Amino acid sequence: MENKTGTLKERALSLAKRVLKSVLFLSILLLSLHRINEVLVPKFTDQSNPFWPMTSAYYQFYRMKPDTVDVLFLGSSVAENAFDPQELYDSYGIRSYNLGSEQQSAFLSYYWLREALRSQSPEVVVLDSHYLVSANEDSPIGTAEMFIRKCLDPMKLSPVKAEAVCSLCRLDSTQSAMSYFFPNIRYHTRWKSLQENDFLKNEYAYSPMKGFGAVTDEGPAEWTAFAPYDMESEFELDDVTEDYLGRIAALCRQKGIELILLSLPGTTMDDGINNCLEWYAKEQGIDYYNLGLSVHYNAIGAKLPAESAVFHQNIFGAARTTRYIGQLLASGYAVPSVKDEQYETSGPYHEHIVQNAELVNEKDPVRYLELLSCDDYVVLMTASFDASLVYNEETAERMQALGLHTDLSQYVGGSYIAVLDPAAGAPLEMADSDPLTYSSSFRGHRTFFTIHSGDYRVIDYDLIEIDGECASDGHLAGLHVVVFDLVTGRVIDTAVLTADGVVRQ
Amino acid sequence: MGFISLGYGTLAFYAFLVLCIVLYYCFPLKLRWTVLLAASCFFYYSVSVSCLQLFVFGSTIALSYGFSLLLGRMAAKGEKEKGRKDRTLLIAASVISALPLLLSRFEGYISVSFSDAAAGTLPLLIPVGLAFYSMQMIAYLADIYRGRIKAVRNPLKYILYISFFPHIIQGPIPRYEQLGEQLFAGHRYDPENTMQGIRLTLWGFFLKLMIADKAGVIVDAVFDHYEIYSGGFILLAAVLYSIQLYADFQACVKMSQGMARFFGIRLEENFTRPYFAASVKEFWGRWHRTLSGWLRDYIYIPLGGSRKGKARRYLNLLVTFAVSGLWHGAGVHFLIWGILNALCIIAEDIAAPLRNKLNRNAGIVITFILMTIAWVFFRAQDTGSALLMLKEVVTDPAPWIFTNDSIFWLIMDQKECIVLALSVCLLFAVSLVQERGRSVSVWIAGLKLPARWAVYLFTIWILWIYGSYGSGFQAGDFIYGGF
Repeated sequence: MENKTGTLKERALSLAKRVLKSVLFLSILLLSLHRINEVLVPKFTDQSNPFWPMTSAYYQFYRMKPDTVDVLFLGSSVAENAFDPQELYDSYGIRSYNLGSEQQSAFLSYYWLREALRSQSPEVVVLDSHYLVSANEDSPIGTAEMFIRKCLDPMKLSPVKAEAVCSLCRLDSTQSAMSYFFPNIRYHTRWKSLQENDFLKNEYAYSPMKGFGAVTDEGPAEWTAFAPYDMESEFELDDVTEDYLGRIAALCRQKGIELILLSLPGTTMDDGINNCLEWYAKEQGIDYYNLGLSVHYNAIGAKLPAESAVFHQNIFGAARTTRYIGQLLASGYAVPSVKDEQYETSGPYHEHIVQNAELVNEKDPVRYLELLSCDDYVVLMTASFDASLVYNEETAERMQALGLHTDLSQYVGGSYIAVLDPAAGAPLEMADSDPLTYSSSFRGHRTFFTIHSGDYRVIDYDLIEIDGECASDGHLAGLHVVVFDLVTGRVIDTAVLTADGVVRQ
Repeated sequence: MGFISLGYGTLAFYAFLVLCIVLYYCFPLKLRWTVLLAASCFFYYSVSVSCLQLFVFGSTIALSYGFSLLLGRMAAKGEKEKGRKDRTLLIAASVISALPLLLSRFEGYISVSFSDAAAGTLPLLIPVGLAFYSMQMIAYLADIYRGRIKAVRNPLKYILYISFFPHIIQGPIPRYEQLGEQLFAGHRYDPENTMQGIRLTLWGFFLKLMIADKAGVIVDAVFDHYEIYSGGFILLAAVLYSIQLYADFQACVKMSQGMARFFGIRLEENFTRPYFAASVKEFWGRWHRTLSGWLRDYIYIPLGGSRKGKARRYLNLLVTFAVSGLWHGAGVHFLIWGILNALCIIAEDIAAPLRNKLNRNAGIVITFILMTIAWVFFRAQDTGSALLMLKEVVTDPAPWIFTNDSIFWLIMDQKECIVLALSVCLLFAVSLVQERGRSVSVWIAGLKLPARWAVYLFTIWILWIYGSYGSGFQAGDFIYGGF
């Protein structure tokens, strides 16, 4: 009897040990595979995709403290570029978050709203109309697969995500539900092209811009506001859009959230669409604003082409639009003004991004050289054929202010290389009548560069290479400048300073 | 047809397998075989695409079961007492049991003679795993006739023996004396069986996803459009096909063995490093051993084997390998492939004095070359294509394709090629160790816990990252699952 009990005890102990070992092994395995999948999923960040940094936007959203976002912006890429939460906070103290993404259709807006409401209690939701009326016809949910994944991949595994994926697969039979829960199925071949930002979660999961995608390009020379004409013209929303738009409206009603439907200037618009959105808003009891109408567009006050508040608005145009929306929100919807550390601490980052935008649009060489004086820039310079073309008293002064003392007029047709790296201390300068080449690294050896100058065959050269990629080639004569922004971890400008001003290739 | 797709390699299949294992060990020992029976029936139903297939499968089982009982009565007679009637019964039983297989092999000829409707209907009639279970039935009937085994009286046990799901689709071809009692005797849980099952399954996945399916990218690209490729590409594709076929088939065998081992059942080893053979004869002693054994025991030996003189022996070899060719496929090129193998063995026999002077390594290389040439016929769309491809290798070798990177931009990028090359090197290393009589599996099992776990984790990680699956790959069905 004792023997049997002893044997039973031993067996029970042995079984318990085995179970424990299995649990431990499975835990290690699952955690490691989860980490591998995190690396494999493509990232769209300020570094890799600055105009639409959706990965970092969504990850950052999860880091916001609960119930600290009073306004949510939803919509496609135009919304991502138009609504600047930092600007809204700085101007009106309104706390907001931009959950827009490329080609975001009503289906995706709905599920991201549901996901957002798990941690936030906004008072207002602003939904841009562009992708409600011009959804991708090749996709059952109005969004191409690539953009569906950009939007859904960062969403944490939750009942909302599970429902979104199942609904997606029900509507679109080409999609595989497993590939959304096990992204390695879709992305494991990315092992061949993984980049720095795939591994550094502390960098890609961080977005002080709170979802805003800062475009730096200039806008069109002019734009004519929309003037409605035909009140009878009709437009029909497709079934899926109407279904999910209805769900968004119902959800907002249920949660006591004000829903604002909004059309941005320069987005898809005609009489039929305008009538349709007006009618729909009336039916649903929600407010609709067409900012493309002259009454609104003129009030926004953006001055083209530098301040583009048209279609994909640049950071300067977005500032105007955001302030206009802020005024509406503060006066018309009583969204409170609140002091919040999450927005206070992101101010300097935003200012830096604005500064970057000013730099990349600067056309005057003197002012350009002034703007280069920034501790967050690594500046690489080289001469192509003749850097002295741009050298005069004023530019010489600015060069000296940067710590560059070479008299370029002495090296007509010669070679010149300069490197301004804040971490290295004093600037590096090399000048000669013979060809020069210089290679080094910065950012703690994470970024490598090579600079060539002076060879008569320079037209065929990549003058400045960064991490093996050409950042500036030798086709234009002048002082070539490549600016690497240490904050966003990428090249923000490639310019040639010539006698005709700052030229961008 | 089944309401869940249970193809090997799908998540649903592994969920099904886990459920079966749990149920198996929950059932009383004597009834555990019923779990296997239910699982096999369910599996077969789910992988069938039409009721006709199930009907043909069921009918063949019923008929062969009936014949086995009849033959069982005759087995009691001595060899001299067995008359022509008895042998006729055996032949009839074998032919009827193998009738769907024979029909399917000649489908290509039928579709020329009859309407397209007939040609279109036949695939719906061909049950899954037809080639494998037909051979299994014939072996079973013959062994009963010879008195080597007794007929199974319980029809449900017979169904299980034929339809056992780990091997029904892709082999190996079991013998009743090896497998039968293992299936019906309940096995107690042994953690070592689970671990060995896992090791076998992981190795199977490695062979499939890291070698077979990667090599298949180049093989398919070249073989399917050989007319646009120079001889160098064709040579590369031919060599890779030799590797792909072995890796793919060995993968399915390992996975079958792994699955069976979870239940405490051991399936036969089907390959023993065939490309280490120093002659084509030795090759067939190492490649698809259960099929080779079947051909030897049920075709070659009954024809007389080597007992009736050299000329008759050579004829018997030709017939046996012709049957092997036909088993693999209906096209003439399969037949030619089979005959080529026979001719190689005959030539080896004739040239034996010369061959004995070669050292073993030279023999291994020559055998590999001969088998690669034969595999070209096996893989090509038809005989004409095979001959044109081989001609291209000789007349336009274009050796610069191995140095000018055209493989990488034309077919498969450099990184994937490196992964494939490293995986093949690992396979070679493991095979070398095994060839020296050591077992890698036993070695892993003997490692300390952290090292063992490191091996398992590392294997899973590399499959997860580098394996050929998901978007952009069709890490599809096993090649031998099509037979």
